Amino acid sequence: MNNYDVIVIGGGINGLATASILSKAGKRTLVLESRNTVGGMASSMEFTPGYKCNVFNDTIKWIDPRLEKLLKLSTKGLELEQPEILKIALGENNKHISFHKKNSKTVESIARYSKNDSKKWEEFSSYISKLAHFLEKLYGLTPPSLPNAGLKEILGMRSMLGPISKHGTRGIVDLLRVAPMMMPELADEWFENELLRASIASSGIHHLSFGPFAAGTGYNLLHQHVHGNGVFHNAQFVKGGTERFAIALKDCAESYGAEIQTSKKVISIDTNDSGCIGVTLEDGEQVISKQIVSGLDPNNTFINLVGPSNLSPDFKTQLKNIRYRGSTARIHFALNNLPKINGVSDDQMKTIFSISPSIEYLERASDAVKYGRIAENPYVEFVLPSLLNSDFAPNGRHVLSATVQYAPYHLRGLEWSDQLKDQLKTNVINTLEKVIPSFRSIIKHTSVISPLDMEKEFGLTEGNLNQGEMTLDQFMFMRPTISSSQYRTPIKNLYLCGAGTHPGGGLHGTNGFNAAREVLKG
Amino acid sequence: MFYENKFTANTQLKLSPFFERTSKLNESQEWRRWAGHLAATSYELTHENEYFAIRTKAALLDISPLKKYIVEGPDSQILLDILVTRNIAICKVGQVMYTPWCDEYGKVIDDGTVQRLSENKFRITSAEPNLEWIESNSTGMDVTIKDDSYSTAALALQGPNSRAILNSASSKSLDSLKFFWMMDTTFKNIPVTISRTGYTGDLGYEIWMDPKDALTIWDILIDKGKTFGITPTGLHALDIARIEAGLILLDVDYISTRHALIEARKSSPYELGLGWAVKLKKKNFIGKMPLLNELNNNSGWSFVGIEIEWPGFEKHYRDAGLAPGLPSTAWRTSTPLYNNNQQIGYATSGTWSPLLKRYIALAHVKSKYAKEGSELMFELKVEHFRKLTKATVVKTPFFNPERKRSCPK
Repeated sequence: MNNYDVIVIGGGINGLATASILSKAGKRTLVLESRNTVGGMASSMEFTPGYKCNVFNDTIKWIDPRLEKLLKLSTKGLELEQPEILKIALGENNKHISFHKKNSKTVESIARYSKNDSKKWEEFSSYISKLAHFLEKLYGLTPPSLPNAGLKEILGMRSMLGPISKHGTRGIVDLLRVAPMMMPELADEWFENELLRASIASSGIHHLSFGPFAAGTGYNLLHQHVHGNGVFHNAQFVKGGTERFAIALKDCAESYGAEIQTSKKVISIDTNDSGCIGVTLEDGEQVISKQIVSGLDPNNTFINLVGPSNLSPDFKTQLKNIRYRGSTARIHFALNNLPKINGVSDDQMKTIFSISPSIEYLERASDAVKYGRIAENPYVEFVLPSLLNSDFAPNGRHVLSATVQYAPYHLRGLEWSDQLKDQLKTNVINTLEKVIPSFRSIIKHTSVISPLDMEKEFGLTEGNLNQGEMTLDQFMFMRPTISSSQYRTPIKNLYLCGAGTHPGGGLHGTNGFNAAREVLKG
Repeated sequence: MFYENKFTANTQLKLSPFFERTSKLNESQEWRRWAGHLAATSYELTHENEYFAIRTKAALLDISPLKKYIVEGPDSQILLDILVTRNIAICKVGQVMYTPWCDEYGKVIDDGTVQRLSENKFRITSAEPNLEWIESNSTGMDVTIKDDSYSTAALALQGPNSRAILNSASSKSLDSLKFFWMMDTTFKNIPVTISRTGYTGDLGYEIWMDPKDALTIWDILIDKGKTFGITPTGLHALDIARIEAGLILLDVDYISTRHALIEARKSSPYELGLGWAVKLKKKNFIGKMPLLNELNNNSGWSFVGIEIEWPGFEKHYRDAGLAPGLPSTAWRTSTPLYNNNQQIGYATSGTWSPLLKRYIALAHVKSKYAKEGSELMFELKVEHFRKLTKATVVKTPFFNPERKRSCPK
């Protein structure tokens, strides 16, 4: 292979976003993806003949608007669809609250259970939106290099002046208060209906190993609502499946001349005294490059590819202290019929469902992590992607994809085996049967992806979908570690662009955008 | 009136597996702390005989307080190679290497030996605890690290007769065991490992064993050594011998970077005369870049041997109406060194060498003054008054007998 200006390791959303921007800027860019397709966290797969699923993410919460502006992904075939109903929170006794694109409809839905709550809804939505606005600006920045931040770093933060002048110092105070908060206390300040409170709380535990009673779940909630345009539980579907986002980015990168190679597994990032010089592939081939950008998580990038003997003790300690602790599993069901959900009409099915009857229910589910076992009554969020994409299942058949918390990577006295996956499947089916009577009878095939599977097959350390937990102590200049939080690393010419960097996980491409900016600075 | 000696004492310090023997032999009841253990300062009322045992007979020292770690597993060589400054890749099975190890800034944390017990198994010995450091550097490596400090007991047998004693006790001859190599053998069917290493700069060995065999091995050596003048020896005698051998001591001649309060107290291997042990051709090791930098820009400080010249020394005492006041034991108080009334260094340990009949010391001096033959002024206190007396930079080791390295023909 030829020499490249930049090699990007990993063809996920961030890797492809970085590659697109760099090749647009004239860099000879090569993307190396170990799997046979691009996509990473946006991947699709056929999990049983005739049935397709979005492996990890059925929806996208938000995409960095700067990507669309720069890359015009809509001209590359990216079509986003914001559903009429963003989420339906399913409770006991056929109760449910639906969250709509139009706040007025959400208010109606809440009013069925609590007049008081319904009156506060619009204010709450705009309150969250206001706080998320601060994060939007913060997310666009490269975090300052601490503890040696100087005038340059401070000036670099000037875009924060926008939200400050808009929302006043009161806005900052609210942000500093809500981000470290725990969900029940935030809920206490606003709402009385438990189903509503729990649905809000569920937004704060997205892919975390903690429950809603953990401090800092406020930050997780805000992260889900960045660029949410004032809509709570904002989410979008990608037409054709989440994978189309990755394919649009791939086409975009290729249109600017980037080379994208799949089934090319990098086994080492090669370094010498002056920094990194290239990569070695599984087949023994070496590729030379001036700069390397890794979309993999810090553990894979540094410990597995750079190698522990090329890292300083201090940096190794930082890497070792990153918390991953994946606790989310995915289960895909191939179904013989469209399931009938209690109290939900057939025209309300193109949405995200969550089974979160109470905050206590969520907290009890999270207890499993503490004791190193799987939740008996898990928090389940599910989507029927076959309703949105007809090619996901044969005619009349369907796919139900569930995100399940908590199913921790670290178990006590147990290990991830087919037997344990069967147990998890049973727990999830039992949970689903509370809202879909006789769900069991329509199942044709089930595919369980445990955190261990995520680690083995997708290279996610400890099965963490965010490349490191999204908590305040792993936020901004502390993400992934204090000495590698500017997308640069202690190894010269090696950059990071994955979800392990600021501002964390989700299919938004911000990490990739910010990383490309740093690579171009040189 | 005669009283029966019923001396007993309680201590929070740890007792070595040999304490049963050493405590009964220690006539002076002088003990020092060594790595949290009680260690004999000298067994007789003065250490002279023990010193001469090291140089003329055979001295038996309990060195069990040494910190010992076992590193085992497929990545053990890789770990050792990044940990220490020497090239462990070329260390063969059965070989021992003396080496310092540094922090990321190239400043010395500790020094000790690395024994290659098998292809994928090493023992590290050190003055201070290092378990956390070794473990934290093993992130991502396939190794197990074990604190071997209490699972292995050790004796040093040092002196010209040491080989003969071991040959009479060992099932295998030690004649072909080379300097800084080791071998497995048995004493009366008890397995021991013997390394040709030591802290005296003389012909000498260190014997590594299971603590449960400690007393038996001690007794065998005392028994076989009787006719060779074997002498239980304490730390006072050892301190003189190690200065003669030019060997440094942590917390005396240098301060570990781990507990140096200020930058100036830290030393690089170059500043401790250990430049020979820094292998910059290795791909990577902790502290490499700063050390490479230091080599290219020359170290500010050097570590040298100095000799305090006799005529000037004697004259200062004569002027005070005294006979020359030689130190009876090795000292370890920092002593200023001057050039043209400017302080340019300090001696960290010194001794009168009973064998060489020279007053010698180990010293840190600014590199400009480190050349052999360089003349310095050594601060001396004579009858409460400070004096300056001439000293010269000389080659170390001060004492380096051929028998240290040679094997019988």
